[in-house]
Amino acid sequence: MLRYLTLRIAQSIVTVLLVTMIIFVIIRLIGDPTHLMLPPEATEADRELLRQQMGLSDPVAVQYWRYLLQLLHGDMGMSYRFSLPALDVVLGRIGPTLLLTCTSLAIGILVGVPLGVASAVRPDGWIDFVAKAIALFGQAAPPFFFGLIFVLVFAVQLRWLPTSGYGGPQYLIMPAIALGWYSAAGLMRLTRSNMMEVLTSEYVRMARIKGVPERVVVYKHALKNAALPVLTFASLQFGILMGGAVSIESVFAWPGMGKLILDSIANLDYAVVQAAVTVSALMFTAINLAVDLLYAYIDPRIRYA
Amino acid sequence: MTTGIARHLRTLSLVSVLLAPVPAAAIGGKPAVDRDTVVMAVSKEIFNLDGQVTASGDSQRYGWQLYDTLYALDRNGDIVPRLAAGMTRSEDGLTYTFTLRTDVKFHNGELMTAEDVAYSMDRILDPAVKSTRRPAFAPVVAKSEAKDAKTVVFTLKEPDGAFLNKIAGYLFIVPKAYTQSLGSPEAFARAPIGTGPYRFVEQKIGQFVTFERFDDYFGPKPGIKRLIMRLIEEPSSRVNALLTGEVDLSDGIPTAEIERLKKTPGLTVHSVPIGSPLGVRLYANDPSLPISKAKVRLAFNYAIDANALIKNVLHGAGAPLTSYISSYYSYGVNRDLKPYGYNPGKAKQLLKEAGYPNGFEISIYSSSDWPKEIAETLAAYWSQVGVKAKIQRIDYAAWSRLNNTHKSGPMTLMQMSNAIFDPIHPVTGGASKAGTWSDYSNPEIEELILEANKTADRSERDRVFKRIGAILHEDAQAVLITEIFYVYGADSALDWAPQPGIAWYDLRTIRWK
Repeated sequence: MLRYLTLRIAQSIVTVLLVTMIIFVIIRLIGDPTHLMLPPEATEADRELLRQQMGLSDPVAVQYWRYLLQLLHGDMGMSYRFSLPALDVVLGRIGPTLLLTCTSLAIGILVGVPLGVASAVRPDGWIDFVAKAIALFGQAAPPFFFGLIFVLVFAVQLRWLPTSGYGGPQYLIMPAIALGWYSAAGLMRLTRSNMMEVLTSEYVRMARIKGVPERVVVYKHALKNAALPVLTFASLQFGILMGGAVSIESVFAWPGMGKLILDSIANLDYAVVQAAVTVSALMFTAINLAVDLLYAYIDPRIRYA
Repeated sequence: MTTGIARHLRTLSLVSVLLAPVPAAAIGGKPAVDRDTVVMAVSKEIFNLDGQVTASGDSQRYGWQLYDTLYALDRNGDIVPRLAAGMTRSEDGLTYTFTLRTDVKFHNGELMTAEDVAYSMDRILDPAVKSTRRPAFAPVVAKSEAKDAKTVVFTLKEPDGAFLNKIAGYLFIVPKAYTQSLGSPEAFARAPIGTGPYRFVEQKIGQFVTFERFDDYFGPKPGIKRLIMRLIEEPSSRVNALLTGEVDLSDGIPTAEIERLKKTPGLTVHSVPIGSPLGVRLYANDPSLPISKAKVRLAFNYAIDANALIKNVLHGAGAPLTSYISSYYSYGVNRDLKPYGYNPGKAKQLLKEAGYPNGFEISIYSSSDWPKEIAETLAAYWSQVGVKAKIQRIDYAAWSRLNNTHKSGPMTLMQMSNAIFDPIHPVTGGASKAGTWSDYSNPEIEELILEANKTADRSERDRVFKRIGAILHEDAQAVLITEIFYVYGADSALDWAPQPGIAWYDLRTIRWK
């Protein structure tokens, strides 16, 4: 187990390093921020001076090496747009992003998994019908569509909730449900199909023949075996929700990471892009690592492989 | 990717508009917070609060609340003393002596002196500060010095007829002792101090900036105690927040929403020109292009119905241009000029005379900052006279890089902002040999620019720019589309009107009725 853990951590570090290197090079290929930083009256000499001040005139390899050295001191450079350390800008977004991601994912799991199980146990029953309808809407329409509908109904018409913004729980409800619905749809369908498969497998039949109560068959024998792909899916959802909730962040003016990364790329704010991608990569690999360890816990075959 | 999403959102919001008559409740005199507070929705992130460093587009949102300038633009478009009591210019135009007011305090309680003013200029000139204003001052300013506590002298390397305009547009005054005491130039942005009617309280990136009234302000004080600028980038979300009364005021109202908001009880829509032309920049210096010929450029203008475009695409938020110099400058506007007008027959005739009876193919860039319908409408009009224009739509940041380095040819949709309240800005920037956004040159214009640079006399400048306007009109250096208007939605109980002729936000005297 210790060997397995060490190996996985080493792999994670390599992954993060690779991701930072790729983004470091790619963002520099997109363009030079000095055109956006200085007013267009600026001359080429003005821009060159700025490039030197920012260390952009050195070869990319030198710049990357310098970045890694700074990284060891926890320094990710300055955001030119905010005149703030890039890490501070990114850390300011982590709280809101994690709050939204975890709440939506929790909604997704709490709604999706039980519904999936229930509809697998009684296919074509009324629960299955409702679950299918929920899944259909959740997968067919993008989350921002529900976001907009929610705003019109619950904020503009009924005035129950604020239209957008970040603050207390009242601000979280609509974006979390809009995103959670999307996750719930996928999780429900995956749980349902896996459970159906497992429930018809021989060892489940064996358990039933032995007279094990149905509740235990479903939740202990079947669900534990159907859970692996669901867990994988949920961890991937986490990554998607972390950086990919841009449209929901836009509709609800939610100060999240997705919008920050996108805007920073558009404005060539190198330091923020690098910091945001590094932090996201760290979190995502950490989640993956945790999921892998959970696998090992759930499925002994992985542990001893 | 964002623009794709944004477009769907917009379409959706239009659909939803049809579905939903909004219950009138929270608007019309019921403030979002209380009668001492105004909450304003702003469409663009407020980046850096250091008014000397941040790019002009961002400083619009807060700069005028936090900082003052020696001279400033008043509501009539005149440049009047603000922190200065008066100013003298030497015969040769090389020495500007400002006498300062003696009752001005910074937000930290210190009195403003000539030392602070001289330092503010030096700070802009210091490359380590990375001031975006440096390119405006570095080529002309030789030195700035404090003669005594209330006298500042700026010595120029060469005469600059628009120097006072630059002072009014760009030289925000910051406190010397405080600013120098900070560890780095960047530190100032986190705790900015000026002399303006509001002081900085808090900034949450991606969320809001809070200001509070500066009670020791030397001039007319704001009628509210707190001003909150809330970032809401999505247009339909801004409109919703306005409708539910979560914000009292919003910028960037989509033109398609103007009619609906006007009909909503308790809301007022302000649509004001910002003194900026929206046009098509033409790479006329390239002799291989048909647009190097004046007749073709004129034909491009006659072929479009600017009034119809303003009415239907911009929902009325615009006005036809008569030349590249906006009609909303307080001087230098040639009122004898008339818009080209829609005349496809004349356009065809001109194309024929230029040697293109069957038209030609050309391409045009359009950045994501402008609705794609504008370029599409232009292309449709041009196709009526035989010219096939291919639209290349690209992201704003990428476009801006191309446009600032003469790589946005052969044509691009482009606006010129009014930054210093003098027509020299669009003329040198967009119609001169050395202009950053110009690929047009005309010896007559070059001479007139030199003439303008030599004189700071307003009636002289008026005459020179009127002449420039007439020449640009005749030679069609650009395709003229519209004056740019900013559209705001506001609670009707707010006593406020936007400053016309400029893209900056002036909330200095806002109050509840």
